[in-house]
Amino acid sequence: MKVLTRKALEALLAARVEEWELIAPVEIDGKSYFHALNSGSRLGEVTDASAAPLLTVNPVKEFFFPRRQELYVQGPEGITSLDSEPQRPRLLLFARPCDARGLGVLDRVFLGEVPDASYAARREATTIVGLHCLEPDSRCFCSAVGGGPFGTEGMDMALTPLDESRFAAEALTEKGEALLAALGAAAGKAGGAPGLPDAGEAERRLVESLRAKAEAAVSRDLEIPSPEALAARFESDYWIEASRSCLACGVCSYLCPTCHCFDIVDEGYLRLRCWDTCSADTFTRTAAGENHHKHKHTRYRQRVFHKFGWFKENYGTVSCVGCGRCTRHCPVKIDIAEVVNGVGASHG
Amino acid sequence: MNRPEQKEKRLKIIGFLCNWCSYAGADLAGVSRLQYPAEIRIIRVPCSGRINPLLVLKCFQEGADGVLVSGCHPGDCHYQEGNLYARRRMLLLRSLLGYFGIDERRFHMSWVSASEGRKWAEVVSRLVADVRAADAESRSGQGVSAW
Amino acid sequence: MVASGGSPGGRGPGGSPGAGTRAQEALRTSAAGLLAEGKVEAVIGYGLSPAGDVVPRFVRRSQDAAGLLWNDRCTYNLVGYLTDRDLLAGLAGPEGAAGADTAQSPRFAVTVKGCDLKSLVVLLAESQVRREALTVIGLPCGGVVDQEGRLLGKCVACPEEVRNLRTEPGESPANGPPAGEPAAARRLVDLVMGDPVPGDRIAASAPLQAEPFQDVAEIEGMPRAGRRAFWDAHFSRCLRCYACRNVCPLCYCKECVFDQHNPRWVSPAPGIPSNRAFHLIRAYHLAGRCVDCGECERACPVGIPLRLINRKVAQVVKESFGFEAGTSPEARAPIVDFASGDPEEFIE
Repeated sequence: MKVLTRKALEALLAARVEEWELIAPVEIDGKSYFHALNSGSRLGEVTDASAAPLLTVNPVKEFFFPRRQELYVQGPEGITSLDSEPQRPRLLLFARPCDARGLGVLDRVFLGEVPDASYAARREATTIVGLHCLEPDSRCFCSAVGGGPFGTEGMDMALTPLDESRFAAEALTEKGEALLAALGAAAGKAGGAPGLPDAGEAERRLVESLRAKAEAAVSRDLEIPSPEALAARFESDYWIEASRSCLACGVCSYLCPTCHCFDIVDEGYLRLRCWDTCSADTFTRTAAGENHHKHKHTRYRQRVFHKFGWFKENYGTVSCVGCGRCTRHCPVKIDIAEVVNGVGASHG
Repeated sequence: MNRPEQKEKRLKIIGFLCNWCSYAGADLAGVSRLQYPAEIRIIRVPCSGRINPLLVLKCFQEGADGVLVSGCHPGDCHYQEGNLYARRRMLLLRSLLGYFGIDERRFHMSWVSASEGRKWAEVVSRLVADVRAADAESRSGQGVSAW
Repeated sequence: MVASGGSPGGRGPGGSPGAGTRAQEALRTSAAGLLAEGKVEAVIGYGLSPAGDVVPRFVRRSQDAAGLLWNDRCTYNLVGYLTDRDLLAGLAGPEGAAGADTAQSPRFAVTVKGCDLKSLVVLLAESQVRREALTVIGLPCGGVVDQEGRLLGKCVACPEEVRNLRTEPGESPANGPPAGEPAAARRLVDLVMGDPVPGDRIAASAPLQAEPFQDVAEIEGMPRAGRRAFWDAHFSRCLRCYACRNVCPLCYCKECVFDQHNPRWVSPAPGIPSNRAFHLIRAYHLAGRCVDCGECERACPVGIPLRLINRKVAQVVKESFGFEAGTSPEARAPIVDFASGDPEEFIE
């Protein structure tokens, strides 16, 4: 564990601003989003961890699995592949543990048996610097789904804010080590001794106490139903009740770090991939007009079964990282944790 | 020797013309050998009231540089009042285009009767001039496309 | 953070807990009575979720009416649920669903604020709801708040007669219609919960606009390139989640133009051009119909100022066609109408 100053972090980012693409939480019109910065003008703002929001509106998936991805154009000479530009090195700054863990879930799909080349290229080119959560709120339930406010899964480097100007920094992968070395060099150039100082006893104890406090703050529990319990509730009217107020929009899916359904769309001779949502009534509509999910409650049921049942059976983990974005931004505040917890309790 | 003027971009301008007045007026212009810009591509419809604003927007999305809707003068509509509906709809459409920063010069509406061959030629010329002006302005600006 | 807006469960209309409690009690009593007497199959109102959020609530049993809520956090427009046939059929249950046009047809009660009521007026004008099948419960309102406890933008300009549901000229909601007026079928509101609410809270908030459409005029005042940049920046964030469309009480088409594939009017994939087309067309389809209930803007997860678009349309409709939406159930929509003096300066 090293101690990293904000100054050193800023210095490195400023030095690499041409070479690297920097993605960090920025504020736009009062809301916070992960955004690609195209200049160094907001570096001071973005490296201020104390100002970093608990959670951005958008998850980080769009930087690996774009909302709109142009695949190829068909022309007189044949097919011209798009999206094959070599990927610039990227730094994703201040991903929360749930954000980073979400990428791990997506990896199971996009880097599985048939890897998605563009996803793989983006993953390879990106160093993920995570930020531990000191103050989870009442909607967080990361701990209930295998994560935690001080989790490190999916991160190349993990930062814990110690105070306004310092972080405890831990490299977790080769990329993380390389970044640590670069930060050490930047610290040297910024006027301090080269290399980052090791964390002392005081810092380590501080990190531990911050961790304990944060973990205690994640109080929401989630009782993930067993496959048998889920199967028993498949035909239940519970799903009608649970989804009654649902608007069948795409907010929960599109803001979810792990949702990954997509559509293929042709715009003239351009073929592209874009996000899709099982909430939409057109999700399973076929060309002939047949739609076996024309009722909202079967779509909502499918959402829960996929994330907490079938995905777990297929990939070994639930497709949920407990960030709570779905509930936070649902226009009618449907709470997926409440729905899942109610599965066991529902009758008939 | 350097040729200063570049080959002008071939404009795509779509004109929705009502069958009974404007299309006949355009036809008269042709028969009278009146010159008007060839960039306009005409789509004949029964009435200007048939024009769904979605059609105009589809044109812009597909790369049209300009769109024209032309119908009978109020009171002369073959279907009595189709053009009166069109008048309201296109006014609203034009306002919205402008509100979003789309150059309103790209969208024109006209009343051209079956006997107004000369007016037709003028309408098209004005539209093409406006579209070229809009193009020049957007090129010199941030290079934004029409839509 | 789960916001409480100042006090747990929100404050009463007009900001005072006392008045709110009285109106809320009246609501619970009325709803319980309507259900116990079998006058309605369900009451569509507001409730509190276990996590502490105000949520739409569909009460079918008299004993559950005690869970109905009325306070300044009740922002949702519930009128939209009245066009969801599946939802209403599910609420009615097997007996109620039979004979939709008979005296036994399912009857529902819905709680409405003044702004919500205007959207109901449009639904009535468009024959999407049967007035006889509804018990309209009016909620005099002093303004509703967002997650941070701030008064919503739309409330700031809300006239007294709208917030206090004065639906007929000269009528006071508490006193009933003037003598000699036609019977209940013509009235828009059946029951009113509580007394008219004073407008102190609204008066104390941000100053009223000097001109009715000042916010729109500010956009109009920008140079064209500036307007383009302003809207393109917002549209770049649009995810095409359709929360705005789905939350809108007046977007009830069984097959929306944006879901049509043949012809396909707008690409379903996000992108600035297609997003711009989506927002323009949706606003256009609401011309003379949108009542500025503000739900679209509230529902948007990425903070697009949608009211600024709908209000522009409302301004054109008002100034060019002399029409205002939501004022009369007999109104003829301006886009399917014409007048001999309609403006035509823009026509050559």
